[in-house]
Amino acid sequence: MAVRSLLGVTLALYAAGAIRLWRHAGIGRGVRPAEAAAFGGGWLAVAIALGSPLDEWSETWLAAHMVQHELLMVVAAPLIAVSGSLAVFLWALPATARRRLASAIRRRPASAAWAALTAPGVAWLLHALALWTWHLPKLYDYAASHEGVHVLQHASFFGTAACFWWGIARGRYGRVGYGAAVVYIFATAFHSGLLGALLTFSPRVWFLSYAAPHAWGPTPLEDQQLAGLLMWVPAGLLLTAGGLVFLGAWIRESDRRPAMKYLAIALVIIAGASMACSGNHASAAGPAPTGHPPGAPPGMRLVADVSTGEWRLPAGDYGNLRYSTLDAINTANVAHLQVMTTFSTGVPHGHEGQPLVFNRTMYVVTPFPNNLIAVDLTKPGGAIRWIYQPHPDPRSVGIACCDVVNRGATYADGKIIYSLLDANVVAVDAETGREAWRTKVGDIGKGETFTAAPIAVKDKVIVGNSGAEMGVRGYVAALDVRSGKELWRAFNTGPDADVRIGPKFHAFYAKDQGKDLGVSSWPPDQWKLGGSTVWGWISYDPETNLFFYGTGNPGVWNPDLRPGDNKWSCSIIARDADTGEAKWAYQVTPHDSWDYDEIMENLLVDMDYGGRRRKLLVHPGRTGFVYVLDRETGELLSAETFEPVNWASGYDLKTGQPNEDPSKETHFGKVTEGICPSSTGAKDVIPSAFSPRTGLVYIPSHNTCMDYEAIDANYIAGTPYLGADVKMYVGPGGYQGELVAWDVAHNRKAWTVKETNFPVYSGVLATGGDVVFYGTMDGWFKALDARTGTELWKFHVASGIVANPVTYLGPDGKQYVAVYAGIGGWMGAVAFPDISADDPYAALGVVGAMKDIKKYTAPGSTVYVFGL
Amino acid sequence: MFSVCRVLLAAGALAAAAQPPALRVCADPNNMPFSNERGEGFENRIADLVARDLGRRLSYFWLPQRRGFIRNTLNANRCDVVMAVPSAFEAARPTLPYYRSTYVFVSRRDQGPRIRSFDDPRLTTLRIGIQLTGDDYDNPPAAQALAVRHITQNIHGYTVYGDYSASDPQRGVMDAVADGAVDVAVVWGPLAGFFARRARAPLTLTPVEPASDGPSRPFRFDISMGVRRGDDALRERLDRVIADRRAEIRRILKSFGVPMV
Repeated sequence: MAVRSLLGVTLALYAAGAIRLWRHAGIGRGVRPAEAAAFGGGWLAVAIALGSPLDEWSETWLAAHMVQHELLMVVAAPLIAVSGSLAVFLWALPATARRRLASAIRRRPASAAWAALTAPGVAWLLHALALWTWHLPKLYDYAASHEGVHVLQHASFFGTAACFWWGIARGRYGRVGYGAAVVYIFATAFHSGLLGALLTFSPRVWFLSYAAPHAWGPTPLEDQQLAGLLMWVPAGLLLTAGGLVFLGAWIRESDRRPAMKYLAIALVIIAGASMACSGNHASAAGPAPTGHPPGAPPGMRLVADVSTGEWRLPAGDYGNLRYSTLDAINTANVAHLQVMTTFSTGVPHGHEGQPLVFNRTMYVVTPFPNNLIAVDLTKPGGAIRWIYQPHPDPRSVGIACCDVVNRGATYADGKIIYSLLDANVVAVDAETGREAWRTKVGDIGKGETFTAAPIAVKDKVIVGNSGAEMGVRGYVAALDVRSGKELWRAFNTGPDADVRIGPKFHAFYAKDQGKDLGVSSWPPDQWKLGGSTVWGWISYDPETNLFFYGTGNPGVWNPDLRPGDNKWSCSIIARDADTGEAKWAYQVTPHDSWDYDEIMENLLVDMDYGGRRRKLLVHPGRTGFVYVLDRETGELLSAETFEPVNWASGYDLKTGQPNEDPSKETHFGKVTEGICPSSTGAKDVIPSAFSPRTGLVYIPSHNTCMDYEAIDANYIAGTPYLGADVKMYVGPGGYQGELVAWDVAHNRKAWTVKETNFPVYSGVLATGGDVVFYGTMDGWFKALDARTGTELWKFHVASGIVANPVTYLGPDGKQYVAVYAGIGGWMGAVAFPDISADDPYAALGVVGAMKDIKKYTAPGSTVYVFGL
Repeated sequence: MFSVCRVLLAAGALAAAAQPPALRVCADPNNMPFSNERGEGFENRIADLVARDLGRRLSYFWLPQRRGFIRNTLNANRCDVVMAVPSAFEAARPTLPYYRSTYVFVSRRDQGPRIRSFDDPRLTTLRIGIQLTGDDYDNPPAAQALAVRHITQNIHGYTVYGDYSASDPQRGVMDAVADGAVDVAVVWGPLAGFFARRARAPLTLTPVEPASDGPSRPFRFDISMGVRRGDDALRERLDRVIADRRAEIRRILKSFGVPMV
């Protein structure tokens, strides 16, 4: 308000002065029309900078704030400086006041001071000082939060810039020293461009007042990059233009000295070229590239920003690549990695999931009771800022029965958002640790639990439920990120209306096309207890606004009781992130009879595949196949095995159907031997990682087969029956697990690292330093060369690792790697959640492994942070 | 005066120290008619009887009886006995059986079909309600018997988990028969016997015949108590209680309507 009045007053005074002056001296005399226009332009620039919505936007967006400053310094200041407006303002005053003020200005102290201030050298220095000092983070933040100081900041930007331009254009030293003027202008362009470049390339956010993420639009880091670019490129160009004007004048003046002319032209060419090159450099090699990542083969393209120093999403990025560009830790030095800090979460149960790291804080969600611990990374030793304790319903432990793990949180709108075991979702203020909202989404009374990590997409949070074996009907739901209110729910079984299959839906394969398949592919009404839950990972493509996830097995029904395909169990589904409407679906295993949940991660990447650039979705499946789909249509491009598989010999890519071996189907009462993989699969929910630099997916996998026969007496909720006795044992090759490096473009293994003792049950992290991290169930945290698989480093932690490593930049600017160490405790052998483990002596043919696990590890609860 | 006090105190302390350890039982806090937190189930009553007989006080550890129950209770040393396991159970060491019951066909007394066996041709057209445990595709024998006969199109499943936030989470399948949602249901005896008496319409219970539908589909089960493998001392004492108190135990079961065969 004050600004607008001031602007109005200024304009009014100028107008009054101009009118009086022109009336006195004649129109166009005393102050030329060009000068008046210059003032008008300058005034407009100030008005836009300070009196338009730009001012409001600059409170949220650093780029907008930068535009304000540039308008003041590079547009308004020079225009007003050359406009000679002082004279006009004087004429706004009554005659006596005018004469007195004018003579005061011309007298010694005032004029000498003014001359000194506007001497180009001095003015240049003052302006440079002002620019750099005000961009010191603490000062910038202080100005942003204190209005008076903010006014001072703008005034000093404008003032020093105006003095500088005035000195060059009109002062005593102007006009004579065009050459000097050129040098000063280019020097200004250079140092402000340098500041802009620093902002553009910095991997962390400078100003706390602009550090909070937004519900939409660019991230704070992207905002800062844009601001830096604005300071660097457009401002630089403007300054260069000004410099060129003077250069032109200088060239004209120095016509008598041709050598100088050619030197000047050379200077122009060099300046222009460096501007152009730096502009290119800025856009092509920015540190947080969607688009082509540094070091990656041509044709490789990421669909969403990957982690560059923070970890804000469960998988680090929307494409679920679990890749970070950080390379301070790399193949040359990872051998020197050591423990920097450890701290305990206080909950000795299975630790799946991963922490979030941003804003100098690490956020850890514990297994039940699902506390949220905020750790201050600026202080040594895991100093806790606060702990949020949601106190979920303790009955959920008994009802959930097997898994009290939590797979992590997501960050959005200033809040850490995650699920509780009792099927509530909570949002906690990331600064204060206070609960912002809590929403009951599922019904623990009906056996529904939540263990998966939610994902924040624009203004929504998307969650999925667990509990298929309790008869729960699977769905994904979207909650409003601000209020927690449930916006929509899309089921995975039932009529099209429930599944949100509508006119926009098109399944690629005929087997997945038809009306209400979620009902008709089951005997009547069975879809109501149809499982198909969502307890794994969700990925998102910002360009098409689609999210992708896989569904679990068909619920409580024996396979023989549910003839039909049983849609949409064991499927990969693509949905619109705004409405939940299904875009396409592909059922991986129709009529599952092996418990092959397909809730695994879906990695999104664009690359050259099969001869042309394709938008891919890569899904390493429970079934032992790596599925590569076109994520626009759901077409299956390839299905090749990464572990021994015999339930099917392959997939028909034309029909999308697996070629199953009927002798490997399970039927109650029938002995079926040697089914590979076992029910626990070649891979479970623990997630893979992808490196765009190598083009490899790093898959943590299992090698187990099973014999299926029904002879075991069992008893659930007081009801006796004979259940299947399933023996599991090591598959061909004799190794329990592998870290498989899968070459996506060539559909084959590039290399593998075999683990003899235990299946690999941890997530994987890939980094720009070409290092891949993963952990083993007996407690080894390992680093491999991402290209060759050579083991470069390992460290034994306090408990087996079933969690997913992350990497980030600490407040000191150094790279760290963090992972949880905590194998499943008394509430369950986390490694095999799907085995009927009531009887630890039966069934588990990997008895050899699981019985021995106690020799190798015990329950734990430690967060490890490694660094150089 | 003081000396009397001291003697009394000492005696009390000795008495307390000499107290036998409690008989720790693991049970489901919300699973009528078997057990609940208020001690109203027949397994609660039988536990009372056993504790009295052993001269011990009773203490409970409550956990819903789901997959992982034995691992998280007996084997985690949270209790010493579980009141009911099938006598052929391998995860725990069963005592001698203390009752034998059967799955029954349940129908409405006035109009319901009287079904005795899974070979009854009417089953192909009737709406059938069955219990589902869904534990790794394993289900009570009715599920298997129907699947093997390809009777799949008219089955309604009722999970044994039910709505755990309400009491009597397992009565759904019985209510379905009484309300006419299904024509006939196949239910484990003790459940059927208890909820039939509380049903909204009179119901008939008919034991499934034959006793076993093939070697892997028995409908009759012996039920024992279960202790930790290796805890032979307690098992022997429990065996003796079961033998000595057979009549009393039967009376408790009969009062709950448990069909015994």
